[in-house]
Amino acid sequence: MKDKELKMILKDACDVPDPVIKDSFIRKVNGMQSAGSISPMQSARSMSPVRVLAVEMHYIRKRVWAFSILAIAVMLITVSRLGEDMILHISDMMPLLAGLGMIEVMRAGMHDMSELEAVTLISAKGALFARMTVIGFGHLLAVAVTAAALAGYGGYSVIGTGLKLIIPYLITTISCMEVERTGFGRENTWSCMAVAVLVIVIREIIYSTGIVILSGVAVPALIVAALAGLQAAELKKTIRLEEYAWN
Amino acid sequence: MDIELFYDKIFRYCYYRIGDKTTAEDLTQETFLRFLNSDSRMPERYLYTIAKNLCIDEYRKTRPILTDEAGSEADEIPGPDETESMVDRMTILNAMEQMPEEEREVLILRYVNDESVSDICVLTGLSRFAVYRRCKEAANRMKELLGKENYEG
Repeated sequence: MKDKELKMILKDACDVPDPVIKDSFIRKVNGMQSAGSISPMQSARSMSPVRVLAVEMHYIRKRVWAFSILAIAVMLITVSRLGEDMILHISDMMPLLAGLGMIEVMRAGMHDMSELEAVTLISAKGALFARMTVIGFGHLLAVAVTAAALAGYGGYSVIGTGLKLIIPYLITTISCMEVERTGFGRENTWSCMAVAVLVIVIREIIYSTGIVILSGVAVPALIVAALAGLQAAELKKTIRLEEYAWN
Repeated sequence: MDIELFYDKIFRYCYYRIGDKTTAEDLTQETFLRFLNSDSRMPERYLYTIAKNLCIDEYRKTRPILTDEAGSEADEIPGPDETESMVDRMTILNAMEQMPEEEREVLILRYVNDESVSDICVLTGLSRFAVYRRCKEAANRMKELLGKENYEG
């Protein structure tokens, strides 16, 4: 018997409260609250999603934002100086951004703070997801700005350029999430940067062989879609890390 | 706070702890009244703490009688479908009765009421891994007990 089946059996087997008695009691409680004879029921403290994002944005170290801005500046300066292979060279920055971002996202787990997060107002899952959202949007902005600049200087398609920049970024984040689930990854904060460097090296090796994979827009779009699916699966595994590790 | 949602949750909790619908309703209402008369800024999971204490007091007063609605409506002869669901319910209640107290607690909270692991940790005072382990043990024991009683769902 699977757990889902057991859950259904237990829920179905439970008797239901008499609706008349229940409604009568709820009306009585509401009446008592209106009359002021008992205190009104208040929800437990909670945080709005906007506040959660703001808290996590504050949690992310300023040096991460500084590096991201520096990376954008380097990419924009490079755009005006490099030749036809500028996209490929600039895309080398993306794994580094991704690695740095993943270190920041996983910092709570790496420093055993996730248990503490679990008992705060924000659930551990919520905190992780909020951090990934904040860093993801920040880096997406970097990609958008760079893609627009490349399109302007080199006459490339903005979408195609953006997709080509996102591919090494996604490959790095997916790999970092896998590594972070290992004992080595958890104990070594900079393992994500090692992954980033490895992605850059592999990318350079493929480029040096002359194999052209990312031509046009359709192929990169398909690759990004596949990687996005993998990323979602990795995210689900990471968010359910405790159950995953236990089982 | 959604009173109706929590009413159902606390009722299910009491029902599985006591095994009697009428008593479960009484305890549910008593739980809410005590909660409202206490500091209302307490989190909703405090309802479980109150309910648990009331169930323990009730259990000490009288040994729980595993009944269902047919027990109080003896004049009506249930149809075949109702009979089958009554048997299923009795089977599960019997199985629950045989489980250790700690496992029954997490089984009700996690599997019946879908409470989060964080809340169960606070309610039981266990760590997250301990809660996962206990949930697993409780589920396996329930499956084993239902298998012994040839429960076919």
